[in-house]
Amino acid sequence: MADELDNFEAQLIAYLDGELSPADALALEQKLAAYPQHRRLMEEMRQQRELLLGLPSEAAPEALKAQLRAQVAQARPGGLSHRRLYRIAASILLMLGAGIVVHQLLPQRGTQAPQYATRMEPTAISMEPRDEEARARADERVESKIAARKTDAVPGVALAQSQQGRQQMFVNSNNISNSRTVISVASDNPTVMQAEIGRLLRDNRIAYSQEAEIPADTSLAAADTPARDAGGTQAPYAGKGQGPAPTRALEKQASVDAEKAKYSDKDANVDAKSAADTADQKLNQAIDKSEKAGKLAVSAAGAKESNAKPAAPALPSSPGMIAAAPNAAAPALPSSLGMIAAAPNAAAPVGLAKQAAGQRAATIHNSLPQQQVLVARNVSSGDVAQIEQALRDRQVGQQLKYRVTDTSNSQMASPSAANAAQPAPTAPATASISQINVVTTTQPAVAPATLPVQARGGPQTPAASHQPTAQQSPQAQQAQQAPQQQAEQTMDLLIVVEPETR
Amino acid sequence: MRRAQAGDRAALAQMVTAWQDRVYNTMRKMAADEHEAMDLAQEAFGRAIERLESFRGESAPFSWMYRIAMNVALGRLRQKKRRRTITASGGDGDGRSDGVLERSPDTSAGPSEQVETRERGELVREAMQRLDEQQRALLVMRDVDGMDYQQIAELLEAPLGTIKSRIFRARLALRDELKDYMSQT
Repeated sequence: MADELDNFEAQLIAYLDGELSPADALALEQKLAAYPQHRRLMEEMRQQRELLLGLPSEAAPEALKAQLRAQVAQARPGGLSHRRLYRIAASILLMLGAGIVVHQLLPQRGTQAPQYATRMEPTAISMEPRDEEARARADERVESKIAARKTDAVPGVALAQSQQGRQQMFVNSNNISNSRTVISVASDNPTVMQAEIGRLLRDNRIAYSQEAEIPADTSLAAADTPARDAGGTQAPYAGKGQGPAPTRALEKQASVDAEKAKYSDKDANVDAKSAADTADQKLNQAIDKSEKAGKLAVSAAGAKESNAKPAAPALPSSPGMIAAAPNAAAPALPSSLGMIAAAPNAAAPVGLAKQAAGQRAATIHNSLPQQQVLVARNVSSGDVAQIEQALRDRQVGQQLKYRVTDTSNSQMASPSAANAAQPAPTAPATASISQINVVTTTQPAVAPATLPVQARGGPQTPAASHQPTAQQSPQAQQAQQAPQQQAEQTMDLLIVVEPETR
Repeated sequence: MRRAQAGDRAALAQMVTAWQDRVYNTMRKMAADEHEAMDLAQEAFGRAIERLESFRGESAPFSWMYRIAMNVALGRLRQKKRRRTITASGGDGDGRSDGVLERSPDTSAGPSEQVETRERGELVREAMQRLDEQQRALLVMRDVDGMDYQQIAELLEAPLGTIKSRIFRARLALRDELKDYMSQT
């Protein structure tokens, strides 16, 4: 029988349900009167309905009630949403699994972003391999004593060895602004590349400094360094648009095929006495460590091309930091990055090249090119983006025709003069970028009181070349604090240049 | 209901207590005997507790419970019918062998009104048992529990017209089952 009702059946149903209008009900009753069988059907259905309605309503037996009570008692209130909990747990596991997969994949590409240490110790911290525990302990001792003396931080960047043996960078957050961008560049010729990047920075009128890692068997020697102004602060590559003299030293080193210059202009704010004491302390410790380790510290006499009068011992873990202080040689501390901290009026180590009067410097020469870091502070985000884009476009690598020049006779010429002079090239060199990795980080703002006071963005400028002292007027101190207040608009730019085979 | 969903066991017990008689009464109309009705009711409540979080408040709480109970009953009775058909293969598998009318109570005994009502109820109940389980469910929903056609259509997820027609056929089928009894009256 079909599910569809004919009109008469539909009317019957509506009549039984009382849904017909009085007129329709009367019409149907007249029709039923004409058809006795239909009238009988209606009566039977009405009677049947009454039978159904007359069925006794039965209460649930006690046995059922007891069973239901037990059922409710067994129901776990938390278990009511167990299915949802399982789904949430499964989602978390999936996310964790995905995260692990991504974590496993990313480091294997060789272009992982540098990692940053946020330690607030006032010195650059080196992260040495685990198997060099003795050196690590020595590091800790040095750092703790330095911290105890509350010397200002020696600004710098430390390069550490990751577990995979790859170089990763840790930034001493004391001297790096809250916002920073790190551009890691792998090149087939890192020495040339970093010099070219330096040129790119100068072309963009970005002041910067250079720091580099020292390989294990590095000889240490004093070398030509940036000049200092009358106030004792260093006047290196500062001043936008002014080319750094150390770059010329770098060019000279490039001519010796892979030696590097190590620079630092971050000593401008180091207290002279503290730095000197610290340097003495570090030197003594370095010598002690070298003797204990049974390894000969490399002295100035043994240093390659060095005529420095103070001994410059190199620790077994020769990556180090040099603190040039009054009457103190520059010790190589067990830091993975060579850094220079030259205190005002400190005795100047003599370097590979000749030393200009009134200049102090220390240069670390490497036999092999390692990572080098170019640090620029208070760089506008637009400049950073421009540099990044230039590197990404490989403009540097493509345009690179690096000409090694002899800068041994030139002294701290201004960048413009250096560019204009263009000494006779010796040999062109090229380099290309194989990988580039950019990471920009923004850390929570640090209270200004905890930030080391240091000149930023141009020691050659009078305002930046002076330390804020008690004698300074409030206006001058405000002028000193201005760069920090503008930290949100600017950032530190760190460019790491390293061999592409890393 | 919300508290029960949140895991309040007391609220859940209160909800079950409020509904157990109505659910059992409906199951009693659908089931062949008291034990089967108890099993159906227990299973219905168990499923409701299990799916408590699925209640979205789109209908009255008891309508939600009623739907679960009726689906449990239809499913169980369908399975029971299949088993009965298989075991009775080759025999009189029409299920009428134990029909009430064939072994109708002794009407010769002078019945009092109470006994008459009880016997009449048994006749109707057993006539219902001879119906298709869906026809039985339709008659229970419409003529016993008083649901309107729209609610039944939503519960069974069928068009309204189809539901009306099926109910009409179910009434005709029940009339046929009760023909002898009604002719006596």
